[in-house]
Amino acid sequence: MLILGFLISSLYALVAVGFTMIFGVAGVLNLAHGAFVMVGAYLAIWAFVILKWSLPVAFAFAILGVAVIAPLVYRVLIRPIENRTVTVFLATLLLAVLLEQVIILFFSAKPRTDLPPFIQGGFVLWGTSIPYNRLLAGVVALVVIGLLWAFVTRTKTGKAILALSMDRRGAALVGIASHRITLWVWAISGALAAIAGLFITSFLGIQPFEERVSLVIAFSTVVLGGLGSIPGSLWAAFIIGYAETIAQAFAPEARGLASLVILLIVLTIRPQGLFGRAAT
Amino acid sequence: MILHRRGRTRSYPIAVLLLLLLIASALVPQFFPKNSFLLSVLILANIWAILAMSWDILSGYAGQISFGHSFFFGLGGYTTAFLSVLYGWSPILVIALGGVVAALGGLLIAAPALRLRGPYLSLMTLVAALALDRLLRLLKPEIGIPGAEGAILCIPQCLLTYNTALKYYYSLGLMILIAGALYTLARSRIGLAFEAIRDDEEAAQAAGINTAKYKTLAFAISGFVAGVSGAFYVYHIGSASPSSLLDLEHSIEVIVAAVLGGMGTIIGPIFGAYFLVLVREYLRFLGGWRFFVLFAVALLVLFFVPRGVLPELRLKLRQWLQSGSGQRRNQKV
Repeated sequence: MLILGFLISSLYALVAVGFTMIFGVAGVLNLAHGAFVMVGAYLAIWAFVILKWSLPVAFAFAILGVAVIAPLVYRVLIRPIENRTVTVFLATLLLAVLLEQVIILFFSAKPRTDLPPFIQGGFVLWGTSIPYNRLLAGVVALVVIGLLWAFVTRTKTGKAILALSMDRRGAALVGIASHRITLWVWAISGALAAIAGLFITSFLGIQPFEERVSLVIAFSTVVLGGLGSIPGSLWAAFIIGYAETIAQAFAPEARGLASLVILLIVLTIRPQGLFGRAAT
Repeated sequence: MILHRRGRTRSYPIAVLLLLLLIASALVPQFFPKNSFLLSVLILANIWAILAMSWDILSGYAGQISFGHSFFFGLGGYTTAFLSVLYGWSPILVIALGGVVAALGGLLIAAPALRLRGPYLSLMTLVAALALDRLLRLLKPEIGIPGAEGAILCIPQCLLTYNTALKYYYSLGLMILIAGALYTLARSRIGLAFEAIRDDEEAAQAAGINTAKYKTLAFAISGFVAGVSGAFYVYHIGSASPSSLLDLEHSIEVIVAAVLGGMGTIIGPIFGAYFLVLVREYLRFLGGWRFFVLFAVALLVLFFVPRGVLPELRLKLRQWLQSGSGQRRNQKV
């Protein structure tokens, strides 16, 4: 359970990091982030089951697909209304329910479990069986987060992202093209959501309304870690991930509930989260 | 924004139009006496209009965006179901008590909500609705429907009347009563304080507005009205269950209705709700497409007509009238 919790937590971390990056850099609370997770999963199902592409190609297609859709959403929908916070908030909510409907129209509301694990088999460690697929998910998630960290701290674009999340005006002053960087952030965030969606689907299956659970988990994680703080969401992802794993071991239908409880406690005691700046 | 009072400039064409619509809606049962489907759709529209207005006073006016308005709707509905089945009190009393319980729920949410802002607050309301849903599913009432989690069947105790036309008039009357009350409230000093809090909470506080008091009040009023709509809904459908009362869809639909009609106008969300319910019930043959269309239209309206359709129309109408009178003046000279 310790290891399974660790592996699922790393996937939550992927979702949460993408979510918090968009908030940190663009100041947008993207309520459609859960929908990105779902769209990634369904793109892969479409490519694999209906177009009969091979699994790795389908996976790559899904990740690229969301990495294109997400910046498109920003460019077309969000940027023109960027300065009106309430409007953006409602627009992302409507986008999320709209994407749900699109998926229902194309795939019906029934749960899909036909995305197979990336690799079959598993092994037993200290009495718990661990499928290779979950192990792979955890490894991939950690590698991706590691790469992201390297990207943000080493490359020019990455440093620009960091600068933007610290101070928009200061970043503009030193000549950072904030719109271009923001497009990058949406693309990265979308790709991270898609990767998480693919693996979550390959162990649990997916259904259109599932995106709300992903969103609640991402939101709780990010709020617990402090909005806009990447290390904060990493720590929080592990807390939430373990809480969910433990809750699920006792009652399988409680997925999403543990994070709600944690969220409620955080919101009432420390709304700015563990690592967050005070809410403004 | 704070000193300038909106609504001082009255537009009589709009008032006349509203009056005509009112007369038309009062005559609907006369013209379609056999069409009970239409009537029950319109009853639903009235209920949704009440719910949308209750959202508007809290979110459109006071700026406290609620994502979990089904919380209040559900509280009102369940109170009604319990009271009517257990005690068989009169509908007026039961509906009012449904509102009171939901208002208490509003106070309960307001306590932690006072410390939260923006998205945190919205999330808090969402969590409240989800938590109530889970809680009610645990309920195993003696009077429940076997097999359905937490559901209460209250026919015949909570049946207003078998006469659909009469029920329609009740719903219409209730809707108009609430619309009038909320409209007056929104134009009063209280409404002004709500708007001040929405536009700039610090400035409102600096201007001597007790923001905590007014926010709590907004939650209580909104809760009461939403509770009344939930109570009437239970009288309409004759049962209460988590899936019919606490569906997250209700909370989203209410936002869609308010966005379409115009947030912060009270009257706008009525039209939004009518549009929404008519599309939802009459385009059933479209299946899932109708929700797609609804959400897409709402998104487009939010994007291109952020004020909402009704305020935009009013503005256009006023501009048109003014340009018309301007031309007449020019002709005289």
